[in-house]
This record gives sequence, C-alpha cells and structure tokens, in this order.
Amino acid sequence: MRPRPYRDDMDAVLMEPIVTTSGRFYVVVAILLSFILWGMFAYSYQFRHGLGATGLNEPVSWGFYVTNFVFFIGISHAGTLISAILRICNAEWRRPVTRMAEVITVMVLAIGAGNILVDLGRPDRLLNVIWYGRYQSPLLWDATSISAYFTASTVYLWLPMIPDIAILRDNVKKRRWFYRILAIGWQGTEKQKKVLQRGITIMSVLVIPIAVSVHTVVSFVFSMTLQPMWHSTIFGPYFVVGAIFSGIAALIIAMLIIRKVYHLEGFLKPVHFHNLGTLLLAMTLIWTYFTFAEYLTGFYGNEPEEMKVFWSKFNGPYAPYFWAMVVCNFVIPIGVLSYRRKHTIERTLIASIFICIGMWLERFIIVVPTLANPRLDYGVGEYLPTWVEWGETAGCFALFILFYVLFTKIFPIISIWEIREGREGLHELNQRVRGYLPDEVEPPLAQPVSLKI
Amino acid sequence: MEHTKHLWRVLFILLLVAVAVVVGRHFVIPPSFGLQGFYRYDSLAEYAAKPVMHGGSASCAACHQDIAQQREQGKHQTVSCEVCHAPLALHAKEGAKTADMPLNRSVGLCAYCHQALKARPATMPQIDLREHLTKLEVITAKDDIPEGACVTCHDVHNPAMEQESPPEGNVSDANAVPATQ
Amino acid sequence: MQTQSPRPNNPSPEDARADVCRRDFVRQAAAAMSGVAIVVIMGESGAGASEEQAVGAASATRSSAYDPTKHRYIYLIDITKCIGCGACVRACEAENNVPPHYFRTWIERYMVSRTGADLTDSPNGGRDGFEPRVTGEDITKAFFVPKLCNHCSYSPCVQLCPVGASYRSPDGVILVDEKRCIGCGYCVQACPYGSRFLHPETHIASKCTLCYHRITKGLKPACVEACPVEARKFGDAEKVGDEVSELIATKAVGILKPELHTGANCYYVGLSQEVR
Repeated sequence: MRPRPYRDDMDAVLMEPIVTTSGRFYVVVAILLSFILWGMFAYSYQFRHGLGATGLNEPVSWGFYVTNFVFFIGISHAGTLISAILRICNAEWRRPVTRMAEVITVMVLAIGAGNILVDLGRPDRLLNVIWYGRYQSPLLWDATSISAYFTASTVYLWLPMIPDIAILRDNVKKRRWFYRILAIGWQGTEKQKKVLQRGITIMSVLVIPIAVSVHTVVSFVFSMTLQPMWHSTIFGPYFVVGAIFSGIAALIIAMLIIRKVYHLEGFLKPVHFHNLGTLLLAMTLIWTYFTFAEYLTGFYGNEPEEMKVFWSKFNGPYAPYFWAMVVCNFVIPIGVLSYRRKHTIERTLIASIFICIGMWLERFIIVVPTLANPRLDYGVGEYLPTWVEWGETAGCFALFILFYVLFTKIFPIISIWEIREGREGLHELNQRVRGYLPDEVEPPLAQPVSLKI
Repeated sequence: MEHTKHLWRVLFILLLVAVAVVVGRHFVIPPSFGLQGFYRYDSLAEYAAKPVMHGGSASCAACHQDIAQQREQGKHQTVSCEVCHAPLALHAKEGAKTADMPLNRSVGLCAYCHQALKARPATMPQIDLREHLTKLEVITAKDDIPEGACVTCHDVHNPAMEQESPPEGNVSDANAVPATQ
Repeated sequence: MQTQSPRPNNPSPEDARADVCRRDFVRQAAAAMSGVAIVVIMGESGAGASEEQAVGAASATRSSAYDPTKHRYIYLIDITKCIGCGACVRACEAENNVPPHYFRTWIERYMVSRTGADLTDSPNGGRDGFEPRVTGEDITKAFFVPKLCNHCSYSPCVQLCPVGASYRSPDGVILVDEKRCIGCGYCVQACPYGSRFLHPETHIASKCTLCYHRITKGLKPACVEACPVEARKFGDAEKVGDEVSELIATKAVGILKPELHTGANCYYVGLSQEVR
C-alpha cells in the first residue's frame, strides 16, 4: 500500500455538505419534521390528558419512555467512549470515525434525558429535582451523571473541532460570525496545537469513567429496587456492555448513511467497517455472556418471584420479544460477522441494524416484564402502548436524525485536520511502530540461539 | 503553570453556580422543609386538614336515636351505619341536614356480607340467596330474584326474624350462628 | 424503648443500627458524600432554622394539640375474621376520594387447592364484594386478606424518592407531599407490596395515609371504622395499654414479606404461607 500524494483539495468533499445544499436535504428535513410534529402533538395531548393517555397503567408504570431512555443513553456510549478509547490507544484508523461517534453522544443524551421528562406525571415540577434533590435516590445519581456526561462530551466534541471550525471561518462565507466565536481565535500555532492536544488527551481520559458511570447508574435505577430480575449485582456492567454494543451498531449505521449520502467512500473504507465489525463481534460475545450469566443465576436460584418474571420472558407473553432479542443480538450478529472478508460493509450493516432492534428489545424486556409481574399473587399487568407512545418514540428518533443531519450541514462530519495530521504523520507513525519492536541498535548475538518449540 | 488562570475561571463559574443554588434554595425551599427530616413538615398539617367524611355511628345517633337503639339490640350492632348508607359528610354538616341520605335496598348490598363464599369464615351467617328464597317459597327456581328481596322480610337494622325458621340444611344452620363480635 | 408499652418485632431506630440495614448504609454514605450540600440545606431551612420559624411552620399541626412525636401507629388485620365484604375499600374510597379502579386498601381472596393452582383474585380490589367462584378445583382452604400500605419503618419507597416528597412522619405514617411529588413513579415500582399508584388526575404518587386527617383528631381510619367484624384494628404503640400492641405482643402475628426487611408496621393474625 503506497500512500497517494497528498493534495489539499482532496478534502473538499468534506466541506461540500456545508457549502452546498441539495433539494434532497429539504425533503429529508420535511419528512423528519412531520414525524417530530407528530411526536410533539402526541406529547401535547399527553400533557393535557396526563399519562392516562398512554398505555402506562398500574402496575406497569414504566414502558416505552423508560425503554427509550435506557436505549438512547446506551447509544450515546458509542460515541464518546469509543472515540476516547481509540484516541488513547492511538488507533490510527480512528481518524475519520471519531467525530461521527462524538456527535451521536451529545445529540442522543439530550433526547434520552428528554424521555424521562416525558415520563414524569408532573413535568412542571421538574425543578424540584434541583431544589429538593435527595442523593439517596438513584434518580439523582442519574441526573448528576448524565449532566456531567453531557457537559464532558460536548466539550470533547468541540475541542477536536476547533481547528476545523477555524478552517470554516477562513473559507466559508456563511455564518462566519458563528464560526469565529466557536473557533476562539485558533491560528494553528505550535503553542496552540500543544495546548489543544493536551486538552483532548485530558478530556478523553476524563470521559471514559464518566461514560461508564452513566450507564452504571442507569442500571442502578433498576437494580437498587427490590423488584424481581432487577435486583441484580451485575446490572451495572451488563448495562454498560449493552450500551457499548448498541452504540457501535448505531455508529456503523450512521457512518454508512453518511458515507452514501455525502460520497465519503474515500474516507470511510471497508477497513473501518471491518475494524468496527471486529469490535461489534467482541461485544456480541460479551453481551451474550452477561445475558447468559444473568438469566442462569436467576433461573438456578429459583426464587418464585423471579421465576414468574423469568417464565413470562421465556415462554410467556414476552417470549416473542425475548427470543427476537436473542436472534437479533446473538444469532444474526455471530452468523453475519464471523465471516466478513467479502461484503464487509453489507455484513456489518445487517448485523448493526439487527443489533439496534435487538438492544431496544432488550431494554424493553428488562423494564416491562418485571413491572407486569409484581410481588403480588394476582393481577398480572399488561402493557399496550397507545399512539401517544408510538408518536413520541417516532418523534425522538426523527429528532435524533434531524439533529445529526443539521450537524453535518454546519460542521464537517469528518475531522479535516486530523485526517491531514494522519497523512502528514506517516513518518512519525513509522517511527512509532518501529518503537514497538526490539531496538535495532542491539549488537547481534554471538551465536544463533536454537529455538525449540 | 502558565495556564492555571483557566482553572481559576472554571472554579469561579462553579462557585457562582453554587452560590446561585444556595441563594435560590433560600427563596424556593419553604421554612418547614427539613424540620423533622428531609421533607416539608407542613405537608403533615395539610394532610391533617383534609375533610373528615365518615362521622361514625355515634354521630348518626345524635339525630336518629330510635334507629340507633334498634341497631344496638340486633346483630347488626357491629355494622357502622355508614357502611350501608353513605358517609355522614354527604348528608349533614354541623348537625344540620344538607342532603338526603341515599338508601340502598338492593340484594347486592346484603350480598356483600351474606353471600355464601368459601373464603368467608364459617361463623359468618351466609346464604345462597336463590336457594334461600326458593326454599322459603318466595320465588320459584325460574324467577328472577326481585330487587329488595331481603328487606321485604328482614329489618335491616335488626335483621333476625321474629321466629327462627326450623332447621333446614345449610341455610338456617348458618343463620343460627350469632354474628361475630 | 422508653415507654412501657410493648413494641414487639418493631425495632426502633436504635435497634436498626445494630441490625444489618442496607438503607442506613446508603443513607449514611450519601449523607457523607453530599455532606456540604446537606449542611447548607439544614442550615438554611432545617434544624438550624430560627425558633419562631419552626414554631410557625408546625403551628398548624400543633394548634389542635396534636404532637406527631408522641404517637407511633400500628395496624393489625385478623385474616380469620375478614368476611371480604369490601366495606373497607368502599369507605376508603369515600373518605379519601380514591379514583375508581385504584386502591389504597384492597382485599385479596386466596383459594388453596391440592393441586396448588393459582386461584388468587381481587376483582376491582374487592370493592364490589366477591362472587362465588366455580374453579373445578378441590379447595382445601380459602380466606380473605385485606391489604394496605404497611407504613414500613425502613420503607423502600421513601428511600428512593428523588425530591423528598415521600417521607415517614414522626408518628410512623408514610405520606407523599402533594406539592413536591414530580410523578416519576419510582416509588410505585419500589413498593414490594403494590400499595402505591400514580393518581390519574393529579399525576402524582398516591397511597394510604392511614386517614391522617382522622387519626390526628383521635378518630380511627375509615377502613377500621367500616369493618363490621373488627378484622381491622388500629393502634398506637406509644400509648400505654394499647389493645393492638397488646395483641401483637401476646398473639401469633406475622408481617408480609419479612424477608425484605422493610420493617412493616401492619401485622396479620392468621397469616398463611400462601399470602404474598
């Protein structure tokens, strides 16, 4: 593989979505807006009529909204966590991937937290959480952790974007004042580069524990109660693993759409999908291991309350969702990802789509069956979402896509300066790889060592 | 370090937020919050101030002396008036009548307690109403049970019949057992 | 343990220290972590508040010569007496304006057969009484179990309220501050007894208050008042010679789900192992 000669205008394709706008963009935005309006209408209906307008009832008082909350917060791990880990590990293939991942985090966190707001009986009293917050409540841990993660991941998205914003400030005529503010006087001097590099490193170290804490405390909301099949010690890591799992899948889908729409085939190559696919395969196995451990422990313990929930998932009313989850999260990804030398992109895409569906089902399967089988001897609960929940869920997904689309129209979705840095740093990279190997200055051995294996 | 001033800026902003929260709390949190624990103590007083609906049988006796006495002598002496009628607050306020007391003469009302059920303690007088009425030849097996069938024979305030009917199977067996005290 | 009245099975907070209590652990850990914040809150409006403030706030409760710290309420249900008439459920509904199909107290009917089939039911919470039921099973025993909030000493619901809206009053009643609750529904699922619900009109958590407006005036809760067979009894553990305390001290009583260590204050006579 010989690197092609570097030309500055090669990156022009990255600027194109910002400079030009096709009619297709407006069509997509219009479709998304119609979904969002539907969601907004659903919420306004629910706001007027209360949660009774939804399928939420007694005893199933958490349903789609909490499922969406956990799912979206899970997806958010794609971003920052993966990008931070790849940065810290100096994985060179990360360069075109990181920003796409980081954007997902920021957008999706806001939407996930919004789902909790939607689920409140009295959203008008939300500020009570600040004035009367009780740190004994896992919900407060959530609020703290998620807002910390939101702040950190926004900073972490913005820092590596500064040089690119400066490029936009200098080259794009539109919104120059806006870019000027965000670029905070970036001139690309050596000193600035040093400071920025240090800032990015600090942030990438910082966001990893925050990201882990976020999904841990999301799981604590469930596991801190005494409810059957929630009160589990492995829920923290189980949720974190599931979050990274679904996050990578969502990231792959987003990458493929952007690659197709903005013609970024030159930047997002099969090798990127191959590498992410390897990660995805690893996460499939880890997730399956956790699921197995979680359910086997519950089953073997044979506690009657647990078993009611267990059987409602295995062959009861929730069995279709449960087994669909197993197929989506385990059978298909293993089958599709194990051999992907050919059709890498298609195969990772298929696995990713199924994993996204499967992980949403997994969240649903954790939330609802437990609530439907309370520790009482009668009246198994049912949950049938109404159009209100469907509308708001559709609205949430549309809002996420809209945010993402708008972001790509304002900022370059692939880091221009990092790609350039990667190209320019090929020599350094060569040196670095050499550094991993035994030093060559060592005197040759006097006699050949006979290797016996 | 040359960049420590950035840290000071961040710390300053955090301090501002903390001060804002503390000051805001002072205005938002009511004084009774935290008096006895992490809650608003005045909430107790709000609960205590809710209206009392049920006055108890003694409050009924204040006006309906005769019926109260009748009840005291019968097996329904343990049954509070408001169980079969309605809460006092719907009927009278400060000793003055505000609305008619609804009267429920349906068999369903009696069945709440006297419908024969497996789960009911055996000491409780209970009947299968259809069996009871056909045996007493009030209705035939095909008829509908007339609404108010119970009150035509029994005085609801003192339900025991003047002459106990002779033992005839389960029905009168059950009737013969005195009500639980 | 300063009064002579019996307090069986019901550890005071002092006992709880010695006991294994996860909630205390969490509480203390959280208190330690957010020490500064707590100190600030308390200093502003709590323990350190000026005397006249404290008096003014509590005056509404104290004006009626009622001191919550002088009572600790307990509840006793005799399963062997309950006839399942539903008078308590209807009285509760009328007294507390409980919305239809939601229950602050309810009655479950247990029917136990030799095959072990699950025959428990509670049609409309027992509000409309019970109908005879043909099950085709060989019923060996059957009984009614009234249920309500257990007003736990270490209640799982109060523990995880994010805003301090759920609380345990000094007289041992678990209440929800109707002006603070944000309606997140967390307490509803945390309650292992299913005694809470989100009110369909106010959209906040609602539950049994032990008829707090009645008991503070010396009346019995509406459900106790309504019970025609005295299956429900209401007592005050702080009162010398209290009948319920005496019964709990001398008779065989049980609580629901003792393994969850909630410190339930609702005792049952004749509790059978089928009851969950």
